[in-house]
Amino acid sequence: METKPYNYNIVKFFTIMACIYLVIGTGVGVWIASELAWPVLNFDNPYLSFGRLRPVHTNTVIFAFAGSTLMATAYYVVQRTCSVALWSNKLAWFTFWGWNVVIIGMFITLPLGYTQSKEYAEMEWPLDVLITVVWLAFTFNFIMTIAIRRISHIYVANWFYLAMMIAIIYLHVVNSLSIPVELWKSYSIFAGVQDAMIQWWWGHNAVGFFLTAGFLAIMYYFVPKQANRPIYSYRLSVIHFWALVFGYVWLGAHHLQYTALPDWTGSLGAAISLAMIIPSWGGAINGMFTLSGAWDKLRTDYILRFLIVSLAFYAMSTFEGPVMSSKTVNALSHYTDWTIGHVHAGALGWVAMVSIGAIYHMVEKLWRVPLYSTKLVNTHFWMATIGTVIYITAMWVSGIMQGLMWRAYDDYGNLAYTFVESVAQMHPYYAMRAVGGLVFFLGAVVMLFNVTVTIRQAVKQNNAVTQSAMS
Amino acid sequence: MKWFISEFFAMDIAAMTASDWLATIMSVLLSVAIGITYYRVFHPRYKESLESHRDHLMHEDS
Repeated sequence: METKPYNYNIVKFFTIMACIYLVIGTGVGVWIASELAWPVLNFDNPYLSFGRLRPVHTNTVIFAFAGSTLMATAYYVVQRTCSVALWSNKLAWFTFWGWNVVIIGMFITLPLGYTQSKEYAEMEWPLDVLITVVWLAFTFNFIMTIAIRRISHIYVANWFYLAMMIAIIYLHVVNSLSIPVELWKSYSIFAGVQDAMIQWWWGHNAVGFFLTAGFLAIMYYFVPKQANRPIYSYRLSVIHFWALVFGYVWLGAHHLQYTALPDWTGSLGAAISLAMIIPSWGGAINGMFTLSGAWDKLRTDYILRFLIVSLAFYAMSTFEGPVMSSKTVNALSHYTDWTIGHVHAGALGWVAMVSIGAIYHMVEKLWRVPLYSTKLVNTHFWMATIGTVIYITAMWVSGIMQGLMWRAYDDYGNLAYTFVESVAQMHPYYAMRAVGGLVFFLGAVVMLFNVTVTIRQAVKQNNAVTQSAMS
Repeated sequence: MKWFISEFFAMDIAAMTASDWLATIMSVLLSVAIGITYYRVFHPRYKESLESHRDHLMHEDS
């Protein structure tokens, strides 16, 4: 590791930003969850209202936290698995500063109300253009680094990263096509049901490629490395990759069951969703079975706990999603909090946990010191797990109750409950959700503290070594 | 039952547009390609060559 001139500085910067953005993103999440439980917290202030802060939360956790994690790990993994330094350091630094300008732009514009109103793609057109340029630079640098590799085989994690990069370029560009009328105002070129279809073609594939393929790349590198064991089955990883790439792009229409979209598109989306359980579980099993014969490592290796438990959540949410996409279940679950619970089982349980495991692993390797406190890693693990479980349980109960209340009829065919009555029934579960989110957020704060102290100690050690060498 | 199946799979081929044909052909080709991928990956002949990359990460520092 020491002998190869890898560019680890770019990885370090993205890693630190990922830790910071996790705290900000989950912090805003706790705040808006509290606004739903206690609406007085909106303070009648438009800039702090749920409608404006909700996209700040989603964009921070998806693009700021998950995006920084993806860029940190992609730059780390491609160098190490190809045994070569990055093709262009300048381009890498351009992606770092460009990506952070996008995030800062998002932090400013969304609370001010500048939005395209497209879910997970709210940012206005100037920021969309910048995202495209930065993402292309990221992709080009990654491809060129693979092109100059010193090892003939391209490890499977790089395939997943590449699939994510290519898919996100065309998904983002097509979904964001719009006609600008002012600097911060544009109108989508799509309308009506086509707009809805394009929106969810992007929306589900943001989940499928940005939040799944990229994080499976992380899994295929960091689980074997942390466990110090070869991946359970390379053949399974190849099937996992091709089946995922083949299947995911068909699923978007399952978000639009019982709408103006042709019925067959929803059926197709649901059918392929159910078929996707096979590769998803194949991948989860592949990661977990990597520990075959070495399960005892979970007792002492807290970083490995994050990685393995994330796979359990991945398996759970990739089973739950297809079930929810079937028309029978969707009739109950759609538009309810069950969807929010499902999303967070994936976002907190899978994406955040596997990211946290990878970040802890990289911090030790990049700064060449053990973590300041492994006990704090264990504390963080339990806070993240318990927080996630509280959150998703609250949303399951709340969502199923909503669905049942909304479709309950009396003997005369009238609705049994008003909408307001269903909202009033949600209060305890919204409070419970805020508590679960708070526990998860505090875990993220613990992580930021642990990582910060670790880095400061590493810097002190380096300075001491340098001084003693000079004297 | 027979009526149900023929109704379910009924196609108005004359009404299909160029986009419909393009999407249909791409879908069929991709489905065949994924079938071939499954066959090749799970065929015993290719097991050794594919599984030889299992421990790729174990050698990256050497």
